[in-house]
Formats: sequence, structure tokens, C-alpha cells
Amino acid sequence: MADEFKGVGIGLRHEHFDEILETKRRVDWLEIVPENYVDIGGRASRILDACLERWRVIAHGVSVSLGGPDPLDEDYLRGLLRLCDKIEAPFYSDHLCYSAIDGIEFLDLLPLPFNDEAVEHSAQRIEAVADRLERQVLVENITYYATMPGSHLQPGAFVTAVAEAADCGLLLDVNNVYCNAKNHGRDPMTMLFELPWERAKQVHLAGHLEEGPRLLDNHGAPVVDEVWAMYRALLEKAGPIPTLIEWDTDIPALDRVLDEADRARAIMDEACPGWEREP
Amino acid sequence: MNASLQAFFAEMESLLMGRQTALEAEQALGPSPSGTQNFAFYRTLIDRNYHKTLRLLFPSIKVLAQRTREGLWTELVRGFVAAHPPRGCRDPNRLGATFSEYLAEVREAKSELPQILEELAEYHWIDYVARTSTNIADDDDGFERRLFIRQFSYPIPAFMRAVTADDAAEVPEPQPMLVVLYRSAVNGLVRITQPTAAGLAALAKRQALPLPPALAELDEAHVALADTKFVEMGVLTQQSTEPGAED
Repeated sequence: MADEFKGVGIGLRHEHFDEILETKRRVDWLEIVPENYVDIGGRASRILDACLERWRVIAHGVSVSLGGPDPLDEDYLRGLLRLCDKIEAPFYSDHLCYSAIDGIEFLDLLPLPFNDEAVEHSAQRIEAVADRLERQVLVENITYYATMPGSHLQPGAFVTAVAEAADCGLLLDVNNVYCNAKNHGRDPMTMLFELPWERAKQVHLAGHLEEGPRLLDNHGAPVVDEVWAMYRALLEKAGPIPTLIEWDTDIPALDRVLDEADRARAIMDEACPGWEREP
Repeated sequence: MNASLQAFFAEMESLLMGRQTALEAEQALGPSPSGTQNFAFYRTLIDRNYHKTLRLLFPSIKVLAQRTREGLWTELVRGFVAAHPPRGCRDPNRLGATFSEYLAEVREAKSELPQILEELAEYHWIDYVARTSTNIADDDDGFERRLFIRQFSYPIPAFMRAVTADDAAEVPEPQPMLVVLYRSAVNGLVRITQPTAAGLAALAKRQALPLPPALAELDEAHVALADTKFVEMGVLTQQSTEPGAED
């Protein structure tokens, strides 16, 4: 396993299981969705083991429901801890949202009301998850298609308040910021820097789908030029941040995803000269 | 969690599960600053998620439902989610665990659905579980996790292949068949086989099940041979102790 966590990674997806171990192209690290590996065996488990021989792997969850109402699933968190230990994950990331109510899973990342009650509630749970997983938690800013009733904070202020209250890191999803800005009639660059970008330990880049009046964060297309520009501006201000190319819908051949990773790495080279030599 | 946040989640559950409209949720919680239409979009998103997950898990069921009647697939998805709320499916695919059971319930309530649907659903499901169940100890056969024995009233594996290749594939005549579906303990690949009588007896003995008279009369040597063959195929695992040697 590579020791360093820097540069540009891609998501490990089963569509690429046949290709990933054969590729000669540069892949700095891999990100997995732990829900696909905790207490799951078979081929996925074998491929992960093989990837660990070659790359650093990190875990990005989708279902811990950091802002949700249900008690934390202690059994799952124990399994997640075992997985994080196995892959030697430097941190665990998940979304600042809820995904289940009363045990019912909605299979989505749902926005909380942007208010003080949700800040306090989410921060307590993030601290608890960090404690259970014995490592720092990064929260990802999600896409939201409607501001929830009861909100009185701006989305950036909400994420900042949670991150400060929980003293956690940020996984800054630039495409989510872009979709939110477009869907809510705001300036993308302004929204980007309203987030607590100084806490960003990882960046996500992805494409989206235009559907009627909305941009949907479907991770099913190339990164758009506006998002690349935001990414460059972020790195110029914040320095090199490990970056992931996400492609989860209509997944193309591995080489196409790696083309996007190369483009991100080129921008990192230009925005942060010498980043590869930095410790 | 304070009372206002509790109220928020209670109203959202009702909205997301389609039990109330966005307008009704807003009457309880106050208006969404984004407008009712955008707020209501979340119900659409969740409905899409359940449709997509079930379509990917049970592609042949969607094909046959659409062939039976326009709109039936959507009715089945929504009816299933309402009757079997998706609890505990952190892995979204776990949503499908009781789909076959639900299809049987619907068929019993109204005869519109053919029985082959629930058998196809069961086959899709055990195939998924066999592929993904957690790695099992070398001397554990993993019945109902890695290894499944099912009696179907139709030639399900052949029809599954046919309908995957051609949406218009004709539904076969009933033809009872016994299927063993397994993730090979030898090479990890998921396969099916049809057991002989001696093979069935070997599988029953591995589970310490009483043998029906017809199987109990089989020659022990034949049953042992079938067991050995299953071990070679990866259906069964090599046992560290002789069957029956443990207390």
C-alpha cells in the first residue's frame, strides 16, 4: 500500500473490477463506499484486498445519517471500524444529511433544516461517530434541491457551524456547490468560499444532469468547465487538497475516468507548483 | 434532539413515503423557502430511488410486469414499499429481500400476477445474496448465505436467460425443477446445478435434516460419492471432521 494520501484518486466501482488491477496509468489512491464492503464478501472483497496491495484506499460512506433522528447503528459502526482499520483509513467521510427515519432507508442524501437545532444535533452525532471509528470524520456538503422549512442559516454558514461545533474536517464537493448555486440562483464562487474551505481535507469533483429546471447531482457525466474553474480557484487559495473524481452513473471505461483524474492533476500542478514534493 | 427537529423528521417521513403531500407537510412545518414544487421534488427522488433499486435487482420482473399491464410495475414498486417499508437496508439491495414474498401476497389477493414472477424474484434474490454474502469459514457450507436449494414450478434459470436476451421471450409451461445455486467454495464463481437423488441426500445430511424414505433407502456409498463430487465443484466445503463425529 502506498503511504501517502495526496494527488488525485478515483472511486473503486464494480464496473471497473476487471480493468483496475490491469491499468498501467497513474492512480494516486482509491475511494470505496464502505456500505459495499462491510460484512460483504465474494468478489468485491477479493478485489479490495488486491487493490490494497497497490494503493492507499479511503472510505466514503453514504448511510451513517450523520444528521438523522435514529440512534447510531452500533453494529454497523463496529464493522465500519474494522474496515477502516483494515484499509488504514486516515479519516472517515460521510455526508452532512440524513438518510433514514424510524429505520426506513430512503436511499438518498437528504438535507436538514439549516438551523441551530440541526447544527447541535449533527455535531453531537459527528463527534460520536468519530469516537466510535477512532479517527477524524469529514463531512461533505450535499446538494439540496429545496431549503427545508425552519431554516434560518445560509447553507455555507450551516456547514461552517457544524464543522466548528464538531471540530471535524470538510470533504468539499465542488460540483455540489455548483449545482446548489445554479438551482438556488446564487453565484457559485461566492457559495464555494462561504464553506469552511480551510477545513477541507479532500475534494470531490463530478458531473451532473440537467433535468428541467434543476441540475441533478447524478455523478454521471464529465466535470463541467465551470466546476474546473472553481476547483482551480479553490486550490490557488487553499493549496493542494487530495481530490477524487466521482463517476457513479452511466459509468464509462476506466480510461475515461482516468482522463478526468489527469485533468485534475494538471490543474493541481498549475495551481500548486511543487505539490508532489511537499511532505 | 429537540421537539422542532423531531416534528421535522416526522413530517418528512410522511412526505417521503408518499403518505402526505408537500403542501400538507408545509402546513405543519411552515413553508419551504424554495417553494412547494421544489420541496415536493424530494418525494419524486425517493420514489425514483426505490424504482431504480428494484429494477436493477429484478430486471425480469419489470419486463414481465410491463408485459402484463401498463403501469403494473409502478404499482408493484409503490405497493411493495408501502407494505414492506425498507428498514435496515443500508445496502440498498437489501430492499429486495422480501420482494418475492410481496409478489406472492399480491397474487393471493388478486390473480392477475402469474406465479412465475415470485419464483423469478426469489431466483434473482438468492443469486444476489450468494454473490455478496460475507466470506464464510472454510469448513462452513453457508446454507442460505452462499448455498441455496430451491424447488421451482417453472424452468426459472433458462427463462431468466431467455428474458434477459429478449424482452418478448415466451413464458414457459410449468415444469418443476430443483435448483442448487451456490458461490463456489473453490473459485468464488456463482453457479447452479441440478442435484441427483444422492446429491439431495448429501445436502440433507450436511444440514442434519431427516431424510424422506425415498432418500433414506439410497446406498450410503452413492451419497458419499455425491458429497465428494459436491466438494470438488465447490458446492460443499471440505469438512474437517467426519459427518456425525461431533457431539
